[in-house]
Amino acid sequence: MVDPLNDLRKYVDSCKKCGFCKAVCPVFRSSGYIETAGPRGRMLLLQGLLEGALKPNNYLSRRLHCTLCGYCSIKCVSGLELTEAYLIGRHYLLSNGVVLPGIKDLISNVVSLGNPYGVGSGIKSMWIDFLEERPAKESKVIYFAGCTTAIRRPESAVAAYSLLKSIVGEVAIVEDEPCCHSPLYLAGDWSRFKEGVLKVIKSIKNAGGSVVVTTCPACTRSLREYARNVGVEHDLSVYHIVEYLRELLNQGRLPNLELEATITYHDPCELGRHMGIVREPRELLNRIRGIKLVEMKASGLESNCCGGGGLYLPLDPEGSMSIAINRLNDLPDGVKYLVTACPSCEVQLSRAVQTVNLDIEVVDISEIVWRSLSRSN
Amino acid sequence: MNINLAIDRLRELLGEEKVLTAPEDLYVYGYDSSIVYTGRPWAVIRATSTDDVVHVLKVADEYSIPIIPRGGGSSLTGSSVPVNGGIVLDLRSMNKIKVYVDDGVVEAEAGATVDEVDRECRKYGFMFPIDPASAEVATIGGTIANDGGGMRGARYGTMRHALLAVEVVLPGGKVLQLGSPVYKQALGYELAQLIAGSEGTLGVITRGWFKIVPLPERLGRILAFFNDVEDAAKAIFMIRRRGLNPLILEFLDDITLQAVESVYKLGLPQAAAAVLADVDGPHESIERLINTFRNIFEEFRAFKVEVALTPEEMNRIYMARKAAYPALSKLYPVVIIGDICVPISKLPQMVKAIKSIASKYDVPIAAVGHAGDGNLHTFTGLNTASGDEWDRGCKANDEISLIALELGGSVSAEHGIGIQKKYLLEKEIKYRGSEYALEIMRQIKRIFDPKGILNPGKLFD
Repeated sequence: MVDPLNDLRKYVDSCKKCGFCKAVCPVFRSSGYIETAGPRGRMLLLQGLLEGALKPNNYLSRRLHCTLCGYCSIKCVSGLELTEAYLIGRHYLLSNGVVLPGIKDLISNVVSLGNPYGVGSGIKSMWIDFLEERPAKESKVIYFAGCTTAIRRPESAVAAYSLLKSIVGEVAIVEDEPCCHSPLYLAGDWSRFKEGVLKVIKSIKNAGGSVVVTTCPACTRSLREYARNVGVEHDLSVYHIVEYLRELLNQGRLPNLELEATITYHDPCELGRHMGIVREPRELLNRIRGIKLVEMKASGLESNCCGGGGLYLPLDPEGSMSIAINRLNDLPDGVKYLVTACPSCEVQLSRAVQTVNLDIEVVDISEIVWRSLSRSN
Repeated sequence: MNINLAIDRLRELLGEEKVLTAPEDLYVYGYDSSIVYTGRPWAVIRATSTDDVVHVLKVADEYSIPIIPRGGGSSLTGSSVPVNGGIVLDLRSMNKIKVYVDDGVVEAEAGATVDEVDRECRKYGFMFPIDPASAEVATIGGTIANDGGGMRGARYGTMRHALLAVEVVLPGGKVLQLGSPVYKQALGYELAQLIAGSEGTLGVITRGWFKIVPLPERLGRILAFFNDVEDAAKAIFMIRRRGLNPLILEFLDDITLQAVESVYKLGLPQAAAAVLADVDGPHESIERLINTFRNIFEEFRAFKVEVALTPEEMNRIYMARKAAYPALSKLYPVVIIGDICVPISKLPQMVKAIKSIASKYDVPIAAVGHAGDGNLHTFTGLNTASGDEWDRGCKANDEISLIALELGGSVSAEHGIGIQKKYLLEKEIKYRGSEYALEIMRQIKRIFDPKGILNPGKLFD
């Protein structure tokens, strides 16, 4: 564990205050350009905390919260990973008893109900009823659906599991799958995150898993990156489904895929900017015969955010939706599917599409691959 | 002065959400992009219209409250820091833009960024001629106020050269449109030009009208490396002497090239200097122009010349210049950015002097900039903004400015005066034996702002 304030210093001292980060910040824009709501403002708030000029409180915490999209880091002239600094700030605030009401509810849901949405475990596992057969309870390969996919986009979970099973053969799911606990990490509650992620690892191992495939980049990062950040080492191989399918593609294990459609791809911030997985989804989509992939006006590492990440949504639903609607301005003409690889992005962009009444379907990449596999066979 | 009464009045007039007084907001708005300057405003007002600005300036006048206009907060000299408290007037939300294609004019509110304006112009086949490196952050109002420039300054000059008319609000709330949105106007004293470079001390800029220029039919880019700085500098002024008019003409010294290479590994050769030029024109002329530039570079012993004619190639070789500031920023926690201008023929002497000053004060100083108009930026890399190292860096920076003066140049090209260069402005005016010019400026200030409430502590005392 880091000493929050000491660890902040290296970020704060290296910030040149040039403000180049503001130009791409979706929260700065949706706030109406309030300096305090932009990345330079957040760094100054952290500086104020370090200097003792500012005290931990709800207002500061609210201003410090953003979607953690990480675009600011791409623009940072000093090459700082600014989202790491924001997270240390969140951890510091929580350690000082500052937890925003919306975040408090979310933490409580994860801890008491095993998901951030406050629904029962029956609802979370309901997607399983739509599978052709009950999934195995033990296997080397585990499909870890995650709360958002299972609860908000069950059709993506069904597609991902079915796809994996049809290619790999034996795939299990964890019974009463726990939350990956990434919301606790992002909220700064790192000690309870550590307890939680240890339980997740245990449950996967109990199911005989050594390879974990997720459809949610947050789950991938939780097991792969956040666990290590809090000192939890494990020997699980954790893949986002895009990486896993790309590996199967390289091994020549992906069957023929075919689907006639013009599509575009939205890079989820966590998958693209944070994990650097930009090439893989495109290779996969271009492997489908009949697919014409047209890039969005901003893509790859310079993709714009959907507004759904970083626990920002419960704090500012309106601002979050305005970010999603703004992302639709990047759509190319004439596409039938807006494909993404993150359930939060999928939910956000679907709502935005409904709000502005666009004739385009937002789908997860596993669904597109599953549909192209079903049709071609 | 009763600030609380004034703030209550502004809340009534503008609504709660436009008036920020939380300590967190006041702390953040106490900074801009300058390194060491900071203050703490009493309140921040987020204006969304000229009417809002009028309300603020009426109340400020009534209560004698300092007003610090702010756009992107990207000043490098402390122009938007509230050193004496007061109200920071944030204009970033005033960002409407309208392009008059048939007239070749763009109208933009003060809070639109230069990049937003440029992107809007490009939709109609035009571009905004002024392109500061901070275009994505710097606003139209701030760039007028600081008379900002950029790489295309070699051809289009600074903001005042594009400015046709400007709307300003004076203390008491009087709104003036200075100038007209036409290409020629002879209306006595040119007050719009007086506002350019005034750094918010005469009035609050709320909108401007500007000339725009057609997008080039085609672009070509050429990057040449030299073993001798003097050769590079001579090549630059030979380009000028032969009547060539590149869109950009940039200079990079050895320290810059090494910094870029060490951070970004672009495969740049070891060189004493490099020159980057963009040429534009009709499709069929580009290769001929590129060859003319190549010949000049080779005439002055360039040992490597790279030519780019496709957007991909152009982006690749542009990285050497684009990455200069980020590379130096990654290498040094603190960077003092200098902003001098010398006659183009004096560039070799200036670059030599910079090297010798760096050695005298034992600080690394990179020289990079818009050499096509004689404007060099120095980047003094430091580990800290305090103590002996900081003092040496500041002294080196001052000495560079004084050498620029001696060479017939100026201590300030396009970053404004702010707080940082107040004494240098005075020095330059005195050096020219024109002390009375400073008195004229003070008198002009009193005419526009009798109570001295507009951006106090900036430009001159």
